[in-house]
Amino acid sequence: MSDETLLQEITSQKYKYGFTIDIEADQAPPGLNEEIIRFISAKKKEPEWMLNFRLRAFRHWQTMEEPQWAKIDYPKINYQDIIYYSAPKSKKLNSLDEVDPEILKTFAKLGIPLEEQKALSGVAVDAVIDSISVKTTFKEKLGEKGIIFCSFSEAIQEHPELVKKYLGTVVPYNDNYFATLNCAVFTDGSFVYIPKGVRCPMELSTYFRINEAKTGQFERTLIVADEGSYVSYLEGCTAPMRDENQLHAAVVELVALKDAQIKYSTVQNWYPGDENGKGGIYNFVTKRGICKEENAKISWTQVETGSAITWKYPSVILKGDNTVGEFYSVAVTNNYQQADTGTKMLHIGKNTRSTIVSKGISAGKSQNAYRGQVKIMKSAIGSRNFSQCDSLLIGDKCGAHTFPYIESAHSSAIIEHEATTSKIGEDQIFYCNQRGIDTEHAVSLIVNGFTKEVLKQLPMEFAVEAQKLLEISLEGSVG
Amino acid sequence: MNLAMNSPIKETTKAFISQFETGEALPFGETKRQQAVGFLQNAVLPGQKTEDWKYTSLMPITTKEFQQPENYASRSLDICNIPNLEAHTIVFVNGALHSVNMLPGFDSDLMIQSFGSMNETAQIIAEKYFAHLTPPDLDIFTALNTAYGNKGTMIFVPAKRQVQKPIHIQHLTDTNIPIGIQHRNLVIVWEESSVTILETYHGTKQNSTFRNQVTEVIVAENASLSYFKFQHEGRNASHIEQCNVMQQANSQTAFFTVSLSGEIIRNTLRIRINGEGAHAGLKGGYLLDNIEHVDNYTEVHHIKPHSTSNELYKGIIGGQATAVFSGKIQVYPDAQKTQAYQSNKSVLLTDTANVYTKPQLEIYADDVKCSHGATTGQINEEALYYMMTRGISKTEARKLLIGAFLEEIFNEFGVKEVEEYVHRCIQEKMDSIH
Amino acid sequence: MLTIKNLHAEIDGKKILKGLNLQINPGEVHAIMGPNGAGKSTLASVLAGKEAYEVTEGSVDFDGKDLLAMSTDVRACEGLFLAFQYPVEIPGVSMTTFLKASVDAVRKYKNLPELSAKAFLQYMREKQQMVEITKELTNRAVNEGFSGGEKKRNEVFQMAMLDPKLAVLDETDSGLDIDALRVVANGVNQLKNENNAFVVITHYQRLLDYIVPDFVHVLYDGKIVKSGPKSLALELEEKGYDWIKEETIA
Repeated sequence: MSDETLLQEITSQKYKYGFTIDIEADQAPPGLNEEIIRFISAKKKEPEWMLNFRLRAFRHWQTMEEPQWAKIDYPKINYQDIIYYSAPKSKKLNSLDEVDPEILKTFAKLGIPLEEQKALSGVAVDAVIDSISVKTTFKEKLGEKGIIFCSFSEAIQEHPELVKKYLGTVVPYNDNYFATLNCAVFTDGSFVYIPKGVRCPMELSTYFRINEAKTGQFERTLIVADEGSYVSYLEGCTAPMRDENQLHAAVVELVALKDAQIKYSTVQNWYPGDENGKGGIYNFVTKRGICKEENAKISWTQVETGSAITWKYPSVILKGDNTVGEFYSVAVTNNYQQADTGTKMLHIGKNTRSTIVSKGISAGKSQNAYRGQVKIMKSAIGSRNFSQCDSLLIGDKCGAHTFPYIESAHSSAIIEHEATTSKIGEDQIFYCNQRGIDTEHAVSLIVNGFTKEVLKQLPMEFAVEAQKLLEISLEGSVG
Repeated sequence: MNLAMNSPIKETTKAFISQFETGEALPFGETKRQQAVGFLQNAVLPGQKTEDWKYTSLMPITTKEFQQPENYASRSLDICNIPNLEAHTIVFVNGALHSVNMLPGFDSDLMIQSFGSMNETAQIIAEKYFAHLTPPDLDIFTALNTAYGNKGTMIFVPAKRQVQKPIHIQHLTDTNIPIGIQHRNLVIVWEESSVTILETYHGTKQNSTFRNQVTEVIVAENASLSYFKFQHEGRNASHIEQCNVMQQANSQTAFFTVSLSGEIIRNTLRIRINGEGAHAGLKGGYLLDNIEHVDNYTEVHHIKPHSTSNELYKGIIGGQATAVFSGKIQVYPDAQKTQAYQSNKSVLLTDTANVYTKPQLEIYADDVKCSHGATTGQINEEALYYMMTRGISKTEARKLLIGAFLEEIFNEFGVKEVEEYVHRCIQEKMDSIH
Repeated sequence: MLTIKNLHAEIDGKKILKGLNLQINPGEVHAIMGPNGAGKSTLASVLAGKEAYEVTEGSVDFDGKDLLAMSTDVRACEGLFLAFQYPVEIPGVSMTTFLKASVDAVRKYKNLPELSAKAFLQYMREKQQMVEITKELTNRAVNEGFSGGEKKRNEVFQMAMLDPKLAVLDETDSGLDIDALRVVANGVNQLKNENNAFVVITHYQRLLDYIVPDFVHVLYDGKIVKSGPKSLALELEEKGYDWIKEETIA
């Protein structure tokens, strides 16, 4: 292909950038150029096509501008200050005493067992619950059904044909600033393939990989559900993750073929910064799924309580006829957090259906925005959408915003959108108080009631923890 | 951006602006005018990357050449008349003042004057409030109007006056060539007064007028205003308007915007509620066919506590027509106890019609009740069927249903003759759709 | 049990209670009647501790403790119950969850162990029967979509669950048909014993046919202007409140 040759030509010219990086080094020097990308690719022993994918993205990224449209405000990121590759750190702590007491406090509130607490915070774990062995039995069980669940790097080596076939097909390399950056520099992530007609027997969870390489910063996930298959995938962990990397730009791609179903649940509780707005993660994520063939279904459920900045719009392209897209979201912001999150439902196939339920809770001095798009193409005869976006305000220093975009190009489509904003009623709290329930507990009851529709979409044990997480996030928000 | 200096869009903009340059200036607002002229030096026309113009292309306007309006030739004004309506009227034909007709026994302090023939008091008021709510550099169309527009209406209702009969501003376009009209309204309703204004736009032929209008409205404490805009200027006419409103404490407004024909209609209605206890009502309706395009852009700013707003826009879209609705409600940090509601409902008649809805809530106060809703769908088939089982023809049934759907938009205006007239125009347009 | 002395209260600077005195002993039922705007509901809200009301003068002693110094939830835990005139809807929060939170809070305050889920459900079922509340109702969100009668029965149901020392019923009879009224009254009568007391606020004497008061007080212009036995209620019904007004002015 002439494109490929051209690419290579350009690539070789760039050598004049000069410095070379020692392939044995554990860490790349800060900054971003083609050299660094070659270094990452070489470190990961990637095939040429993968390197070309990265380089193409990088070249495109250089022509792009950071988006400004979201309702978030943050100091300019210097992309040349970031270290884009560092070898997995095996910095083991010796005991829980070395862990940040703030984190331990949260663990206690969440009721996480001691051994698990150790595992989560990187304390050396004794042999009994060695996660490797858990992982092995788990992998065997999946293997029997032909399910592939492995790290992204492993998939590139072991299943290149699948990765090649689907990588970048849902979120193209030139999709948006952060996704394109991810294409160029992603370090690792997860890969899932569910074969035809297989119902995945357990919830797949990144939790099982938690002790593996720290892949957090530029993570990449690809899930392919072949015809008639089903998978439920859980991302994240309710434990607080204190990561020194400030910028996170992950990409998640979901592909559901004929009659397949993917359920993707996220609980995000990254460090939100302190009560004065210092520190915290900038979370710029691109998540998109495609219901490629008829009767496929993709369902996103998210509980977002962490990060200083959340910029995230898990979306569904409803390409096949009779396909279904769902988005259930709870986003909580407190102190100085900012969230601009929502979804896009693109209806292409006939009789496609989408449901959006978004619950935003703002407290402290935070800003919480729902931004969503429902687009019905001319081909999407008989399609339906229902959206419900509710905001709850706690305190008078925060903001709640709703920006839906509704575009319909077919008379047979029915779109309904409802949004409300209200505060927790003083009379509701008084009513609870009169029944002996104190104000803090009353707020958590009311918040749980408000978010119930979304939380019930989560797998049971996840839902319970998510509920506790909401309480913790809103702690002290009612004076 | 320096890149834009000699870019095609810059050239197009320059050519577009030059069509409106005139030497005749108004006897007031010189500073604002200079500011606007300055702004136009570097202005560019909005493209589809401009968020607020995302769904409306200006191509139909920028690709035409507009002449300066011809002078009024004595033709019939009949199509502008609303049967049985008794109103003070001010009539503009092809942009120029035709006549002012006050009803007998009117309050002599009430001013209804054309910009071109204002008395001294009116000029003093105009000097103070001209471009007061609409900064000359707000956008290119505002600047164009401020810099080169020299026609307009001033309505001033002094304090404590209840103006009994409506004031009717009539615009008639009667021309064979594309003309560019710039018009401006300055409406001031002083404390404890009330007035009803009706502004209608009609065209005699398939005229391809481009009308660029700016309306500024001040509603003072305890005053009330009902303002109805009715656009039926012909399917090739274009209309871009900025209506900027300032409401003070305990004032009441009710705005009605009904668009029945136009190639590109862009109605901006921006209401700033800057006083406690005030209420703003916004209603809009449209019935579109062919390649007609209506873009309603509204903003309601609740700046002070205890104010309310209620907004409802409804439309029927047939042919290959497009309806755009953007509605923003913003509640400022101190505006506690605000209640703001908004709703947009669309019915698509064909598979080639398009609807774009963009409601927005921006809320910075906690003790508020705000909601918005949007629906799009088709005509209720069940109701249609039900009516047909009762012997009503499908066409008739559709007409009835559409009439009922849009009725809600204008039936609270309070002037029966106008409500009946609008109703009839809608029915007539329905006939032409079939 | 409850001693109110010279109670003055206002809302948004408007004086509503202007020196109210009332003594309630265990085992008693007191009815408070009066025309609209006399301050009946204000009294209920002030006793429960609604923040919007400001007590400017006077004292309220509840079993030897200063009631006014306690927060609303502590008052509830101490055994004060208010049956609301307009019970609030709390979307998404099921009655069961809500009641469990409430019963747990009160038990914790009294240093009693939390009820197990099983014991709680059984306890709830018992009380449900008493006020003829269906299971379907307890599965719904608090007061959401309840009819007027269901809301009032639900208040009495919660009262039964919490078994308060002093219950204040704020116009519980308003908007009830005769059957619902009987159910509500039955509930109250079953709960009544020599250790607790009831304050029944009402506009009409109808309810008092079912819940027989020991004392009837007439509240007018922020004060109790007349007290008497049950017959006073009948007299009021017959003569209306104008009679009281005249008497007070005279």
